[in-house]
Amino acid sequence: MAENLLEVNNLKKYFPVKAGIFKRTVAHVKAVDDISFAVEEGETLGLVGESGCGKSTTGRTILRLLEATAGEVLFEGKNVMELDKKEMRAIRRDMQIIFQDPYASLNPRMTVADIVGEPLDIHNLAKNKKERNEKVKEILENVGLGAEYMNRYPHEFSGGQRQRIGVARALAVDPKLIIADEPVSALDVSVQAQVVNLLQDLQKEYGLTYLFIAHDLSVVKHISDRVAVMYLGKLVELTDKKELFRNPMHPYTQSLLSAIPEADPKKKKDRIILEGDVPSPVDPPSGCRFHPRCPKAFEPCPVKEPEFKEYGDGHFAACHLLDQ
Amino acid sequence: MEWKEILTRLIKNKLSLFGLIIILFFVLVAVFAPYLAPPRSPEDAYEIPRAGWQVEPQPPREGYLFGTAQGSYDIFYGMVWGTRTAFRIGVIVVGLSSLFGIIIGTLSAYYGGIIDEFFMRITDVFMSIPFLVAAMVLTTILGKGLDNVMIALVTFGWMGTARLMRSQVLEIKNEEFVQASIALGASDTRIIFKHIIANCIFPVLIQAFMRMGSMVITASALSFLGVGAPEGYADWGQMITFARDWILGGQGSALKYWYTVVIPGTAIMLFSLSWNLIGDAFRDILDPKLN
Amino acid sequence: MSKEALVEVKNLKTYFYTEEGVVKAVDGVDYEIYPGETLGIVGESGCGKSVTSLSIMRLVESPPGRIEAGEINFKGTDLTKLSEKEMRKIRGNDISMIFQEPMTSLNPVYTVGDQIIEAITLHKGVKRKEARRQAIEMLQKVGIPLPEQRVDEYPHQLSGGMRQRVMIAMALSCDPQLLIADEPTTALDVTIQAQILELMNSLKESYGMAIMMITHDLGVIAEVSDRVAVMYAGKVVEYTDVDTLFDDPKHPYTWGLMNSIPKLDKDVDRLEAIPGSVPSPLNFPEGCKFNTRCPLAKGKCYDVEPPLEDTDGGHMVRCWRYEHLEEIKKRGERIYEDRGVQK
Ligand SMILES: Nc1ncnc2c1ncn2[C@@H]1O[C@H](COP(=O)(O)OP(=O)(O)OP(=O)(O)O)[C@@H](O)[C@H]1O
Ligand SMILES: Nc1ncnc2c1ncn2[C@@H]1O[C@H](COP(=O)(O)OP(=O)(O)OP(=O)(O)O)[C@@H](O)[C@H]1O
Ligand code: SF4
Ligand code: SF4
Ligand SMILES: [Mg+2]
Ligand SMILES: [Mg+2]
Repeated sequence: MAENLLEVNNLKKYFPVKAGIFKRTVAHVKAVDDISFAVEEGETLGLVGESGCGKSTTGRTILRLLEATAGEVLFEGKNVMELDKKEMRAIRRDMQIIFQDPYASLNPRMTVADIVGEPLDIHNLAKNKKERNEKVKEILENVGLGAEYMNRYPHEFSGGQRQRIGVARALAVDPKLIIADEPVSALDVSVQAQVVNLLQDLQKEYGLTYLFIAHDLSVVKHISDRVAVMYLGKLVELTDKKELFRNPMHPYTQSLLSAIPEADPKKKKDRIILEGDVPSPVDPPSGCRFHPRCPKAFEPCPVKEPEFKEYGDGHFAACHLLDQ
Repeated sequence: MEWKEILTRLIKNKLSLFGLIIILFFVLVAVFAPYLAPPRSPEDAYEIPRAGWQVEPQPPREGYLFGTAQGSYDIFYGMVWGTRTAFRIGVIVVGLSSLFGIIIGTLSAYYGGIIDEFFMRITDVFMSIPFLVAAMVLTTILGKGLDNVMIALVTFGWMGTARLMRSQVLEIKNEEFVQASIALGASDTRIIFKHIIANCIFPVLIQAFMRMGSMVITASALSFLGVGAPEGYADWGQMITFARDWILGGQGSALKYWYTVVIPGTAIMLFSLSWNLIGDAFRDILDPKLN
Repeated sequence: MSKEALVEVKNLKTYFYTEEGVVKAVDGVDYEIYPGETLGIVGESGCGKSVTSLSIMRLVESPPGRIEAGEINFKGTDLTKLSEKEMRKIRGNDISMIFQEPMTSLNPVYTVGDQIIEAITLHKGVKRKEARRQAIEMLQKVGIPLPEQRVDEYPHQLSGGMRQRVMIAMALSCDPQLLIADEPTTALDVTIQAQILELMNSLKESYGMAIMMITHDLGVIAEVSDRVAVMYAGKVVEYTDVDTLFDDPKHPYTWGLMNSIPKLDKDVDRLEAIPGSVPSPLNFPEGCKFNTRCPLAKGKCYDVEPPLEDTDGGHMVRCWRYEHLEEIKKRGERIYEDRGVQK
């Protein structure tokens, strides 16, 4: 088994909810509530879940774009949460992020050359302007953009091209881990495949490790080695992707899989239609957080929280049913 | 590239073109002041020459194109050299107060927490005092004179910019491109200058244009209230002040001394209107991009 | 189909006159919708799906937009010729619409009940008390729990899925003959989307109305449509029944679209990505509008726009070289060859 590049232990991130004239904290959004997982070197771990379940917060907390409420993040064995400002800046070279929104994630007042060159400037990776431009050109070519684009501004590009610029910027520092936060969700259907292919090519070429966040299970299935399913701030299942799609253990995963509309009109799936909506993370349900919607809920569910544990060969899940 | 586009659109808009032309006219007047109204001695160029010692204003005549004001001060001379004063007050006051506003607003929003709390309380305190009264009191304390007027106007003129800047920065700070830069390991200075200020400066610029116009009116008001430039100094406010006792006209005609009010009044109005027109057009041009 | 069409759109052209030039958002679109069926309209962002539907409702923002040519025959009346007053009688009564973003299409200052009741009293002319009863009944039908209580709540008190249900309830409250659904589930989570799609299917059956379902998601299309129109750059490029479309896509774009999305039940190493991106509507290429991205483009494709032609038994395709695609498909090759990183 390969080494763990990233290890997340009991990570929590609560956002205070403030109210009243004195802006007192009246409650907390438990966006990420005690999750643990590891990503092996060279693999792609997919992280899926519905909107608001805490996927982005997980990604950003790992990178310390948000400060964690509790827990530790080990990158190559070092606890990232304990690094000081300077050490943190240095380690950022090894961990990068690609954002969902190809429009919001590029500074509209910078040229492509400056956007992709910024990481080189920050970490002094180029001796002079000429070398920097050479490097930028090379990186742009790696993501399939020609040098003729260097002096253009982001608004002159299509969504897919902009996403490539975002990828190029992340690649410029030669990172080991890339957290891709829904990198294709905002793209046109026909362009999504271009970016997915690009990410796969780059992974092969540079031996990158991905934490690939998405809400689209079919994309996650295509690109990942293992998949983690999140519900309302908690991990509910984590396993090899083939195993997950063949043998989903958690009732939420089962309904999620059945809910995906498939591009095949002849297939009539047996849908598990969930009742109700995703509850608020401010005041999550007691016991198992899924119990108000779970079609299989039984006595212990509303009172006791199921433990996230292994049920044979790296298949983790959190559900009382599995202990029966 | 962007600037060129903005400029073409400013020129295409009739109102802002009008504004631009008027401002350009004032700029030319200010630049060529020594030729339009040659001073008696270059050192005291801002000293308005007097046609004599008569108290009553005299109408326009040969050698005194706009007539003379109370105390026989040459109105034409005062207007021409006052243009320079107007620009100086506008540029220095708006420039400095905007700079303070930008710094305070940016630091507040970027660092948040206690720093924000501190700066915003100070801003609240300054804002709670009526601007004109505060400026007048401070000028009275510091003493008469244009420099002191400017100090007062800067001291009480930065809060609007600070608030605007703060709200802008709060918004931009959470944009993903800023997050991306943090993730790359960028320093605070880099993020503030390259990413944040570059993206919030336009609304502040628009506000500055608007304030250019109003600043000159405020400075004139201070002069009118007697705390402005020393008597005889070439300043539009001063020119209006000279008219104070003659506004109601004299025997036989209510309009007898019209030139003492109308000329400086028109100049002040045109000057501030032009900046507003440009500011307005600027906002219209940038608005769709701001949203 | 031998039944008479409920809606017949013929050569519809809707243009926008903008500062940068003329945007030919919809440029000669034809299709029919029959009573009781669901027509799926699929295509990428900006291809003109929403503008087509807004044209039917005569809700295109004007200026800058204008219906330039074409007919929209609804039960024999050409909607493009009606006055605004006549049109208002049709909107919400005979034809209803639900939008993508349920928050912006509900008025935040009125309770959901007020909004449904207003629609009912306006179109059905019943008393308020009766309208309220009907509104509650409608909310119940769309699966909102505790409708007597929810009817007095404001939109912001409801979740996204709930709001979308309210929109559907409102749209259905006047028994429309045609329901236009413009990406009704795009903003929702998959589990909620499944609820809404199920709801729409069951309502269609019990009400017998026609639905025009706009989406960019082929999965949703496969799920709900009877027939499908695939749009690209303001035009319909393929038009047939849903089974035929998925079994035997004949337009290179449709083929690419189907192969560029990963399938749950099939593993591939690489996706077949369509290169490039949709051309700007201000700057469409000469000839076939797909020629900038089409691997089969050749000769004529660059000069003359192909017509929408019946290839066999009502399978309409807009391509000069679709037979070529057949051959490649028979050989089992990929059309969108793998060029690795694309330039
Ligand atoms: N800065 C913040 N302050 C307060 N609450 C926040 C903040 N950021 C996120 N949240 C809340 O935390 C929860 C998780 O948000 P997060 O963005 O991680 O979800 P997500 O899984 O990425 O969803 P999506 O698929 O919509 O991107 C949500 O309820 C969200 O409202
Ligand atoms: N009010 C408008 N003014 C100018 N152009 C417009 C206007 N509304 C739409 N368009 C243009 O018309 C084209 C078609 O737009 P439309 O909204 O129909 O796309 P769509 O297929 O619904 O896309 P999406 O999936 O993003 O909703 C686009 O290029 C759009 O830019
Ligand atoms: S623990 Fe109970 S409620 Fe939770 S998923 Fe399992 S069966 Fe359902
Ligand atoms: S007409 Fe030519 S360019 Fe257009 S889709 Fe067919 S083969 Fe491709
Ligand atoms: Mg997210
Ligand atoms: Mg649309």
